[in-house]
Amino acid sequence: MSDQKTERLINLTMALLATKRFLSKNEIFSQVAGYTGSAETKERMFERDKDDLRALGIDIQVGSHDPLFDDELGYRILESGYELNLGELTPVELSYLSLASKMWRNQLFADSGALALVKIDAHSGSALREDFGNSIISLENETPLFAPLWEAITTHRVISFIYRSRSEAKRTLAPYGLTLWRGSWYLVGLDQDKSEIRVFKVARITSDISFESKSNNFELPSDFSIGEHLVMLHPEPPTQFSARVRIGKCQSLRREGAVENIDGEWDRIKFSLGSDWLERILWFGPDIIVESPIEKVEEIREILRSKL
Amino acid sequence: MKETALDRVSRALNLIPFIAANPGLSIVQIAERFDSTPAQISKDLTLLHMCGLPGYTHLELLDIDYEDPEYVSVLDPQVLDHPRSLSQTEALTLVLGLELLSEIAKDPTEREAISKLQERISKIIGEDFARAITIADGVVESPIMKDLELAISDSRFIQITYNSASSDTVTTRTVFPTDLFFKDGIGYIQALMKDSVEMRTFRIDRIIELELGESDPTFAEHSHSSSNAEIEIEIEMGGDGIFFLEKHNEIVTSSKEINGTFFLNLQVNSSDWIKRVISSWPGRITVVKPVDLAKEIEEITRAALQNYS
Repeated sequence: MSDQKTERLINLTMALLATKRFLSKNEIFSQVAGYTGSAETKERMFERDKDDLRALGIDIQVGSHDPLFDDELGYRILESGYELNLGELTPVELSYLSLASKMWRNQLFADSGALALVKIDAHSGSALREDFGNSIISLENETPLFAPLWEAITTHRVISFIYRSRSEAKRTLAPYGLTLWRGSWYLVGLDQDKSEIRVFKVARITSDISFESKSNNFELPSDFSIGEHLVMLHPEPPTQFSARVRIGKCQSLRREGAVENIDGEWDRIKFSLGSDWLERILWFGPDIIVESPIEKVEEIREILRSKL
Repeated sequence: MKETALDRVSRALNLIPFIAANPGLSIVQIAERFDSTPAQISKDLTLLHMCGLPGYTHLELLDIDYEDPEYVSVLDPQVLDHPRSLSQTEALTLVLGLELLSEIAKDPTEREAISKLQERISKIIGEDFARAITIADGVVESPIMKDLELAISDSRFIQITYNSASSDTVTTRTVFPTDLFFKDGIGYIQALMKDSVEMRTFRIDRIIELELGESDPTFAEHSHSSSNAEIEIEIEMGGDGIFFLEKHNEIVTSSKEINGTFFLNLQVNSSDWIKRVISSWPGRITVVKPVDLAKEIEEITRAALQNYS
């Protein structure tokens, strides 16, 4: 890429930032370094430069010098839109931001976190930052698919992928959002075949993400809220159990329920467990005998038989 | 991927305010922060040196001192004295990171400070954007997180009353925590046993009581890894193998699936633990190797079933 173009774009940005009033095209061509060639060439150069800067997220305002004559348009960049302004940041706040920027294992957020921190250090200086020790904590498991999913969500493109649960199947989805729950990302969207909102664990997607449509293929429903669709946040009500447990055993259950002694070998505990009840109970092998509810006793018996 | 002129412009516009606010860094240090090379940063500075405001005399040009690559400074940033605003994705990265941070910060004043900071940065993010990505519940909360962080940062011993799931016991021991980490939202500490100086992992939500003890900054130097022998295990299971893989990926050394049957090789260092994992798994798991382990697990299941006959 040419140094000339880079240089010209920087000069243009600086000139438009420095001006209080709108600069007309002619003023730009005569004053900003880098615009050379015929009138037409300069015109085309400027149009492209403008698009390029906008693609970088720089807001170029278009307006007129004179409210009475709006025939000649001018350009400028307002400091307020261009500059990062977070006000004073205390050393502790800077440290929080630094930690927050480094929490991510997905490449997209890891990169944008690093860039955000550069900007924050340019805003406040890194010397002030208090270091909270070297331990960098991540609450996120690795996900190579994060970037394409993120792109599909923000540009509203329909996607398809192979999803693995009990069996493997292709799913086509208008992706509405992502949520992080206990270390894993979950994808929420409108399943195109079932016409229903579904939740997918990203770790169970076994293929690449294929884009099935152009941008802006769907709109996020105005009443959409991820939280409403997350089954894991709305667990079934827990089940009350009563069980005999060997004295000195089943420690984690003892802390959750009322214990009464039966004899020299057994205690009785009443406790409640959620959806993981079966594993929690089987964990203690022969040290527990569930007495009620009766349908759970039946289920335990059947599972144990099937395991032999 | 080849760098475009735009990537370069974007970096250049951030370079000037960054160096202005952090004078005296070396080219190498600057390159690290910008995920670039020293050669590239030098080229950028040479180019920026010729940029400036209309007029383009030495009064209007950017004034950068990079003659000594060990100490770079910006003498006159002109209008580039502030960094560019955060992009929506950058702001979101910080806001979500802060949210996770506030989940593990247990001090209410700390939480409040974090949430205020979150509000300030959230203003940059559009509503649709913010709505599309959330954190449902990052961690299983624990009231002792604060004490654990303190113990690690101050190199202190802790006395913990711990419920070991694999041995189904509650015991009190003195340990020296060295590291705190999370997996699937559950917090763990790595700690050295005071007596054996062996490294062990403890689940934070199984610590029933914690008492901070004395500090010993040199204790970690004596550490050596656990002497427990690794056990190699081979198992076979049905389609629920996919969920076993997901839940216990850290012990799986290899896996393959043939016609709906999963063949897994595991490596563990606690036979107590793996016996319970396999016997509590709702689906059928066949232990191929070692034979002794297969027998023991079968006995556990038989004895449990006996309870209900």
